[in-house]
Amino acid sequence: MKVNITRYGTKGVLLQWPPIIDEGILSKMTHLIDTIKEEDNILDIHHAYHEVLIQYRNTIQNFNQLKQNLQAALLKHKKVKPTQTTHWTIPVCYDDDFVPDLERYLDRKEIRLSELIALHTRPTYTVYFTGFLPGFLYLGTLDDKLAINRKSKPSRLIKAGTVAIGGTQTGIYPQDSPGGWYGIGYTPISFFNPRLPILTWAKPGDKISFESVEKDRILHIKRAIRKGDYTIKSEKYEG
Amino acid sequence: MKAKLKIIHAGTFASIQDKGRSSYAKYGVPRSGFIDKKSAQRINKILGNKQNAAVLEWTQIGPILQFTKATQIVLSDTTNKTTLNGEPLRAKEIIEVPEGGLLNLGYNPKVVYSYLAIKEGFQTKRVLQSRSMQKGITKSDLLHSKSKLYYQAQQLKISFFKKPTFSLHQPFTDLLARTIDCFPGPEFDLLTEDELQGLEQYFTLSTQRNRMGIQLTELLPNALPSMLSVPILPGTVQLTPSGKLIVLSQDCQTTGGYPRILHLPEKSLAQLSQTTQNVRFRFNIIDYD
Repeated sequence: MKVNITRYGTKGVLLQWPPIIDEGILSKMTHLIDTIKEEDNILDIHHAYHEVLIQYRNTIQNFNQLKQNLQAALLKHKKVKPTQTTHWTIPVCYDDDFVPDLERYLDRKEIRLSELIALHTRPTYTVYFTGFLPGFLYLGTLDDKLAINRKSKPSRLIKAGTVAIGGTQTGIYPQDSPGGWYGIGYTPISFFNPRLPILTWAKPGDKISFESVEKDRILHIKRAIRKGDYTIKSEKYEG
Repeated sequence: MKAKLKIIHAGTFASIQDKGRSSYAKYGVPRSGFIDKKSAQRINKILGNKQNAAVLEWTQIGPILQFTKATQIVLSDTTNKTTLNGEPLRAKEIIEVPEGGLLNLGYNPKVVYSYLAIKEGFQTKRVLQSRSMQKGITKSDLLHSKSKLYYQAQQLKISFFKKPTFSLHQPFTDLLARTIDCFPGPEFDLLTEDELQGLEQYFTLSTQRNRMGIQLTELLPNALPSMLSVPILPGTVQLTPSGKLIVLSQDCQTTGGYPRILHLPEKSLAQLSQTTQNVRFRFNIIDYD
C-alpha cells in the first residue's frame, strides 16, 4: 500500500495512506508509531483515520534523509510484541430525560426508540483515534440506518457524557461543548481525566460496545463512579 | 512566599499562558501556549525569568489587578492609560510593584495580544506539564474575577516611580509585516487555477477570532471535495465548503475535516495573530525547496 510522505510546516512530516476508514491502515499506522515513537528528535505524533503527523523538535534540515528513514521504518517487520487490545462495554441510558435531542432524532429518522437502541448497541465499534476534544473517540462504524445529517445550526451546549450521532458517525462528548450532532443517550463514564496518571483508558485499536441500561441503574453507576468503586466492564485479548 | 493576586476586573480574553502542551495531541489535547511567543519570552528575559515562565495574556482591554505583596513585573506594551497606583508606566522595563499596588492595564486598540510577566512566573497549578489555561484541562479557560492567581512575593528593590518620558505603543516591528509567509498545505494541489488566483487577493481578518482560530473576511469560493478527519496543527489554514478561510491558532483542535490549503510557520502565525481587523495582507506561498 503506497504511503505518501510530505512536509508539514517547518518541523512536521505527514504520512498519508489511501483515504478510507480501514482497520488494516490503522494497524499499519500504529505499527509505525510504535517503531519510531522513542526517537529523541520527535516531539509528538498524532494520527486520524489514514494520516500520521509527526512533529519534530527542530526545523527539518534534510527532508530526503528523514523520508528514507521513515520508508525504512514502514518496511521494518520489527517483532513488536502483539499489542493487547481491550473490548470495553459502556453503559448508556437512551432516555430523553438526559438528552433533549432524542425526540427530534427519532422524529426525523422515523424510527422507534427500541429500534434505535437495538441498532446502536449491536455493533462492536473500533476506536480509530482521539480528536475534536480531549478524550473524544472516533469510532467505526455506525449502522447505516442510524445515519443523520448534522444539524445545520450546531447546538450551543451538548453535555459531557452525551452519546451522539452525526453523519455516519457516533461518539461520546467527553466535556460540555457546542456541537452539531444529535444526542441519543447518556453515559456517566469519563473518557479523559488530565489529573490521573493514565489520562484515558481507551486507545486506538480497542473495541467499544454500548449497553442499554435503565435510568435508575445509570444514576447508581454515577454514584459508584463518584465514590471510586466502579470499573468499566472490559475483556482483554491479544490483537 | 506565595502571594495572591486579586482580580478587580478580568479584562477581555485574559488567560495564563506558558509554552503549552506539546506532546498530548494523540489524546486530543490542544497545544495552547503563548500566541505571541516572542513578546512573552522577551519580557520574561528582561525580568530575569526562565523564558517560558507563565505570563498573563489578554486582548486589548487589560485586567485591573491588585498585588497583595511586593513584586516586579514587565509589560509588553502600554498606553497612557496603563497605570500603577495612578502613575503611568513604561513597557519592556522592570516595574517595582509595592504591596497593595493597584495595576490598571488599560485599553490598547493597537495591539491584539498583550503580556504581563511577573518575577519567577505565575504559580498556578500545572496540568499536563503546562500552566496554560484550557477548557477541559485546567479549572477554567479564561481569567475571571474569582480566579486564584499566585506569585512569589519579592523584596522591593528601589524606590519606585521613575516618571516615564514616553510610552511605547507598537509591538515589535517584524510583527507588522503585510506579507504573510506560508507553505502549501496537504490539500493545496487540489485547488484549481481560479481558486489559486483567489488566494492572491488581499485579505483582512474578520471579528470571528479567538485563541482557537482566526476567520478571514474574504471568501474563497471553491469546489474542493469533502474529506475524512485528518490531523491539524496551529498554523494550518482550512478552507470550508462555503469558502471561509480559517487560520488555526494555538488552542485549535488536533484533528479537523476541512481541506488544509496552507500552513503558516510559527512566526507567520504570530504576525497574523497580532494583526488588527482593518489591516490588508497577502499570502506569500513558499515552496519547500
